[in-house]
Amino acid sequence: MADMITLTIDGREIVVPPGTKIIEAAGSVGIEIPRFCYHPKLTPVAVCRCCLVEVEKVPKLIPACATPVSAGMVVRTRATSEKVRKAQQGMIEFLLINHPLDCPVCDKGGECPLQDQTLAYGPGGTRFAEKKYHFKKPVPLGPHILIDRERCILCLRCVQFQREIAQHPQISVTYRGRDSFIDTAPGRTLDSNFSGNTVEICPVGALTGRHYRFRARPWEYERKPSICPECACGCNIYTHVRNGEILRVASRENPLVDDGWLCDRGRFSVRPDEPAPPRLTTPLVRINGRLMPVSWDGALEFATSAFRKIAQAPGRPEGVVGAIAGPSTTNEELYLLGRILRTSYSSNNLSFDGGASSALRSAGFAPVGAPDIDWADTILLIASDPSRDLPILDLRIKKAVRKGARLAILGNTSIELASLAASTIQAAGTDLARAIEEIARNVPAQTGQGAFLSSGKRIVVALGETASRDKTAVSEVGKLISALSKDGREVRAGVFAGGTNAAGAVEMGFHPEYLPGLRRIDDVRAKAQVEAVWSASVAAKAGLAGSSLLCSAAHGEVKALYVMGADPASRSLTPEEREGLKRLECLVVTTDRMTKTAEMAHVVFPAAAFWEKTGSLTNVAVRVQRFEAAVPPPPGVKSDVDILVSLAKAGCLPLSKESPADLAEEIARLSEPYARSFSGRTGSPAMSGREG
Amino acid sequence: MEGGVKAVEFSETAKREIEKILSRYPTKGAALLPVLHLAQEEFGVLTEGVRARVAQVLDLPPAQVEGVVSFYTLFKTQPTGRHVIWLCQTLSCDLAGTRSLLGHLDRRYSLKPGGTTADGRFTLVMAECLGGCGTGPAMMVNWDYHDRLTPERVDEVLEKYR
Repeated sequence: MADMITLTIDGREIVVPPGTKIIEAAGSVGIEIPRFCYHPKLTPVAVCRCCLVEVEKVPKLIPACATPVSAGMVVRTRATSEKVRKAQQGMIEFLLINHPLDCPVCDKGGECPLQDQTLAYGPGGTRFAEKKYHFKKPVPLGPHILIDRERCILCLRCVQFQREIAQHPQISVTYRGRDSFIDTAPGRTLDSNFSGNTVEICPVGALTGRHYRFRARPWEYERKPSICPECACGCNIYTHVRNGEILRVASRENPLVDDGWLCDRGRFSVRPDEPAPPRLTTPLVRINGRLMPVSWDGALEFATSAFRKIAQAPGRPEGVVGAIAGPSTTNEELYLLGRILRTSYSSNNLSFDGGASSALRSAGFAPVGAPDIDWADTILLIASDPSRDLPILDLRIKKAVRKGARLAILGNTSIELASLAASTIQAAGTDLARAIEEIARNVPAQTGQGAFLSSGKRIVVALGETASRDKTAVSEVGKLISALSKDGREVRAGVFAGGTNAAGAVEMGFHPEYLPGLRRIDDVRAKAQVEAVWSASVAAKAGLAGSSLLCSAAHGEVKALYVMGADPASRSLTPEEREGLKRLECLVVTTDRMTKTAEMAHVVFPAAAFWEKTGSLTNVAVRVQRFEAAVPPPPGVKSDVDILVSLAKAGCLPLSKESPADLAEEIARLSEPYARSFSGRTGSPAMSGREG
Repeated sequence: MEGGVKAVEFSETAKREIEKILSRYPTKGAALLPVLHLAQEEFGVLTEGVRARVAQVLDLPPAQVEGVVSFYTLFKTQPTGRHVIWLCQTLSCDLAGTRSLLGHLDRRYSLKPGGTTADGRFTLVMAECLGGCGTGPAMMVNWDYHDRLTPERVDEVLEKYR
C-alpha cells in the first residue's frame, strides 16, 4: 500500500494511514499513552500535556494527540524514554496540585481516568505543601449539569463536545491561568439537548448530572445493555442498576445507530431523584361501577368472558373488537396482540398510538437511518425536524455536514438544522405537496432546489411524520425520487418518524391495513402466507385505527377495546372520540400505573414498565434491536406478553406458541428485518450492539 | 434581550468602523479582538449588554466572547476611575519594592488592588510583568509606562493625571 506511512514507536515498526495521530498509531499496536483531553471524536486541543512523547530530531517533547505521523518518524514513549516518563509524572503531579482528591465522595471515583492514570503513570506523591485553591461549588451550568471547579483539570472535552459535536457552543473557558474555569455566558445556560454527554466524557468528576450525583459508587451497580425507549432512534445504552433500581443511563456505542452519544431526553428519562408515580400491582375489575382489586384469575376470567360474549354474539360480526397500543410496547407484544385480535376476534382494528406511517415504506422505499446519512453527499429534509424528534440523527446530520455533505430543507425553515442548510424552501400544509412537485420538475429543468439536489450523487430524502400521512405529498415525493434517480444518482428515501417502535408496529402487522412483514391485507397471496403460519384465517376487510376506531365505538360498531400501554383518554379528544371510549361494553387496559384511560376501564391489568421487559424494538432505520429486562417487575405485575398468553389460555384460544423463543421464531418467519436480528440456531435473543 | 440585559447599540460611526475591521479578516470571528477594543472605546466598559451585542454582531457564541474578554486584563468589565494604574507584581518588581508602593498607595490615596479612589480619579490593578525587570518597580498609568519607582516618584507621576 503506497499510501501508508511507516514509523517506529518504541523500536516497533508500525504502518498506518497518513493523517493518523501518534497517539492513535501507538494505540493500534497496544502501546498506551496517557491522555486526558484527547478524545477520538474531538479535534485535539493538546492542553493536558500528558501524552507527551519524544520524537527523534525534535528538540522538545511533543503531544502525541495532536501530532500526525510522518514517514520514518522515530517515536519514544514512556516505555523507552526516561525524559517522557518524567514529564508525564510531572504533568500528573501538576494536575493534582489543586485537584481536591475528594475521591471518596466523587461520582467518578472508581471509573475516573485521573485516578487510573495517576495510578499507572503518576508520581504517587506530591511536593506541593501549600494550600489548594477553593472555589464556590458546585455551580449549575444548566438544568441537568453542575460543575465542580476544584475538580476540573481544564481538559476542554466538554467545551469541544458542545462546540463540535452538539454544535451548541454554550460553554467556554473563562479567565486565564490559575483563575480559569468553564462557564456559560452571563445569563445563559447549558440547555443543549446533548449536555449529558459532557458528564460522560469528563475525565474527572468535575461535571456531574443533577439526577444521579452522590447516589452510588460505580462498583456497586450492574451495567446492563439495553435500548433507549424515548424515540425512534433506538440508541444503545447501558442501564446502571443497583438493588433493582435504575440509577442512570449511559451510552453503549453503536456506530450504526448512535456514535456513542445520547440526547438528554433519553439519558435523563431516568431520574432517581424524583418520586416515581405509584405502581399498579393488582388487577382491577369494575364491580357496581367501581374499580375493585381482584385476583389475576378473576380479572382474566372477567376479561375473557366479556370479550367472548361480544365477539360471539349472534351473527358474529367482524371488527367488533379493537386494540390500541402505546409507543413503548415491544415488537413481541404488538405481534401477539395483533395475532390474537385477528385470529380469535376476526378484527383488523389495530391502532398504534405512537406516530409513524407506513406510507413511504409501502411505496417500496427503503428505511433511512444513521448509516444512510453517513453515506449521503446530499440530504433533503422534507417537513422534518430531527433535532426535536430524532435528536441523535440531528447529531448525525451535523456530522455529515461537517464532513462536506450538503443539506437542503423543505418545510419549516426556522428549525435548528436550517442554519446548516445550503438550500432552504419554506412550505407547509397543502403548499408542501406543490413545493415537492415543483422541485421534482426543477430536477430536469436544472433550476432551484431541483438543481441543488441533482448535483449530488448519493441523495437521502427524509420525510417528516405528518407529511408522510399526506397521500399527495407522498406521491409527489415518489415523483421527486424517480426524477432524481437518473444520471448515475442514487437515492435513499424514508420517513423520519419520532414514535418509539413506530416502525416495529407496522413491521409486526399492528396496523389496520398491514399484516406482519408489510403484507397488505388486500393482497390475497400475502394474506395466505400469514394464514398458513397462523393456521387461522384473517378477515379480509381493512380495520380501523386512530380517530375512526374511537368514532366507530361511539356509533356502537366497535364494542370492546384492548388498550396496551397507551393512554388515549389523556389526549385532547373530540367529543365523539370521548363518547366512543365511554360507550364501550368492555374496555381492557394494561398499564404500569393509573391513567385516565385506566380510570374508564372495565378491567385493568398491572403491566411491566419498559425497563422490566425483555423483547425488541425497531428503530427508524428498521433495525430490530433486542434487549433484556434491566430490573424485575414489582410483585403482582406481569409483562404484556405474559398477560396476552394468559388471556389466550383462559379463552382457550388456538395459541400454540407460548415461550418467548417460540414466539420470536414465528415472528422471524414473517418479518425479514426481525429474522435478521435473530441469532437463530440457539434461539437465544442476541444482544444488539456492535455486531452490525 | 436575553438575560434581562439592556440592549446596546453601536453608533453609526462605530458601525462603519466595524465594517472596515471586518473587511480585513477572513472570518467574522477573527475580528473579535479589534471589535472588542472598539466597543470598549465606544462604551467605556464591556458590560454584559455590550458583550452580548458584540457576539451578535460577529455571529459568535456569547460563551466564546466571554472567554476572550475575561482572558485579557485590558478589557474592562467593571467601571473604573478616570485613570487606571497597572502596578507590576511580578517577581523582579516585587523584589525591587512593589510592596512598599502598595503600602504608600493605600496610605496616601486609600487605594487597594482592584479598588478605586473615592473621587473616582484612580483605579489600581495589579499587572503581571510589564517588561521592566531591570528597572523595577514599574507601573503603567493608562497607556503610559513608568519605572524606577519610589513612593515619591509615584506621587510625582500621579500629579500629572487629574
